Amino acid sequence: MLNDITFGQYYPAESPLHRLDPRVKLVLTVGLIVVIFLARVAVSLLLVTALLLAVTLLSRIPLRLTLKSLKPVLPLLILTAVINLFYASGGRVVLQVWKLTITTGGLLTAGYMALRICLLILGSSLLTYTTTPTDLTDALERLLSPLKAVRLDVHSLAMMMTIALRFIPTLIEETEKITAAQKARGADLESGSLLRRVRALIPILIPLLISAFRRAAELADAMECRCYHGGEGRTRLKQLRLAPRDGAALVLFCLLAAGVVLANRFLPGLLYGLFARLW
Amino acid sequence: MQPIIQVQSVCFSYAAEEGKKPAEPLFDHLSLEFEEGSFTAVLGHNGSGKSTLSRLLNGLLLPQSGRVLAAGYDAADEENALAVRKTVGLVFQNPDNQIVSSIVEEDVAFGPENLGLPPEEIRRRVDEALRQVDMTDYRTHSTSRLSGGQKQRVAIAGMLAMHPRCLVLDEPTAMLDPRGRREVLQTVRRLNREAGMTVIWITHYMEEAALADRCVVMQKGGVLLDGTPAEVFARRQVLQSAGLDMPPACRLAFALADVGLPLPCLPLTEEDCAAALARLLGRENNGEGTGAWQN
Repeated sequence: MLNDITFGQYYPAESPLHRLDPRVKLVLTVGLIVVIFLARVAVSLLLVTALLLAVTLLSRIPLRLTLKSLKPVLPLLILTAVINLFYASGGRVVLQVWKLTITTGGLLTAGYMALRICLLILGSSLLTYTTTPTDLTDALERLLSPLKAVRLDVHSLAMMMTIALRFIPTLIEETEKITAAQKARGADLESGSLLRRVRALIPILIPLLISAFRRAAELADAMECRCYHGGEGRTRLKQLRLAPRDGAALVLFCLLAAGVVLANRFLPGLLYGLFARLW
Repeated sequence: MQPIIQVQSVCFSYAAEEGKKPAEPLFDHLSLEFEEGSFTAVLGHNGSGKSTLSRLLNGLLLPQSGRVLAAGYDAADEENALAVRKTVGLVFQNPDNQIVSSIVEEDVAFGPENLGLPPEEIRRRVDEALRQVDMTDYRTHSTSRLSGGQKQRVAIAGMLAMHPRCLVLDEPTAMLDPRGRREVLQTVRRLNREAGMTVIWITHYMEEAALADRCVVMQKGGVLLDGTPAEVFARRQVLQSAGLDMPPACRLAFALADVGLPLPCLPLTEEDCAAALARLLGRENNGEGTGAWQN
């Protein structure tokens, strides 16, 4: 297995989700984002939450790890919740301080919005946890290939992504080396004002940039030696083939989408009504 | 039999490449030939033109006059570019800058993919190439985590998967530690012996050159010496004047000869040297042996 790729977020494990065709996973993730925003009522949001939790369990990724992906968006989460709390109106007034009013409608909207953002992040990180960067690039190239008709060079874009991914560890290593070399020459990177510290980065960035250009030139030669001549007439080692499980995943997703739409249509305000009556 | 690579009266200068007035050409009517199945070491100082030669051999650079023929294809002809590159595989010094993909087997597949081969054939060639360089176990590993020697072997596998008839390696061990150097050298020697691959090994390590069938010593864009390692390393004065060193075994032999103790033959490797020393010590007893190998 690809057990030593720590780059990106890929978490190696044996699960149905890992084996899913990357194209299907990519499409489903985009679909999921749409569905999350389509879910307007509590029942449909709960439906999405339940399914996402089930899929996360299925992926064998530790729950702790998936929750960690929420950490960077926490400030955004709180901010949207607070704004929605005060600005959304409707329902009964719960609390009024000076000009700020909190209504039941505001409470619900804030809660929904926060839950939506959480689901969004969890859903998309599930994609990066279960798919290697190379598979993702590959899927992207194949999914976007119809755009060749409008003269978009999909192959070059994907090749650039592949090379960028390949060189990230190399350039990180190089940055560490240059930093160490500059420190050995007395460079002070940690003290002083922000401006000073930014300026101290220049002697690191310039050698890094020069080296990156040199590498690029050499890589271009090496690629030419290996008969690279663009995407034309190029074949691939890995053929992506849809398996029954990919179909099953698509059907499951369609059921979810249908459930959400139906709940939106026929069960509006089910929980809201309960909530309002209890208040 | 026709040589696999023919360099015919080639003139080349970098200044002319950039459109400037050619000051002093690097190559002035250089001619060289490489036999199929041979293992040739090309030696020389920095600036002697050995790297430029490697780039001329597969059409990455084109001569201003003269011809370079690879398996009969003229590299200067645009239509032959792919055929020439398929025939002559070039491996560079820095393995980090010639690996394209993050996964070992996907990188090896890069060349065959460019050739537009069917997926089953690519799979077959990738597996075969990885087996040849003994990297099958690392098939699905990340290329960034490999050691220098392993990376260079992956780069060689990437070339092998295109089924070249000749492998040109431009100082492939210069950036490696001694262990990595040994790994790469052994791999290439095995390819030469078992698969009959023509090898042109560019290096400045004399010990490596001692293992070749033929040594070409370059100086200032010309061929200074050309012959078997034993012939080349026997020319101490010429090598010294070119500022080139000798393998340690040869140095010891010359030092012994200087003090009046010539070995029975010029040893190239440490094993040869040990055997020759044993014979020298034996000669002390029965009084035979000459220093006839000295020039």
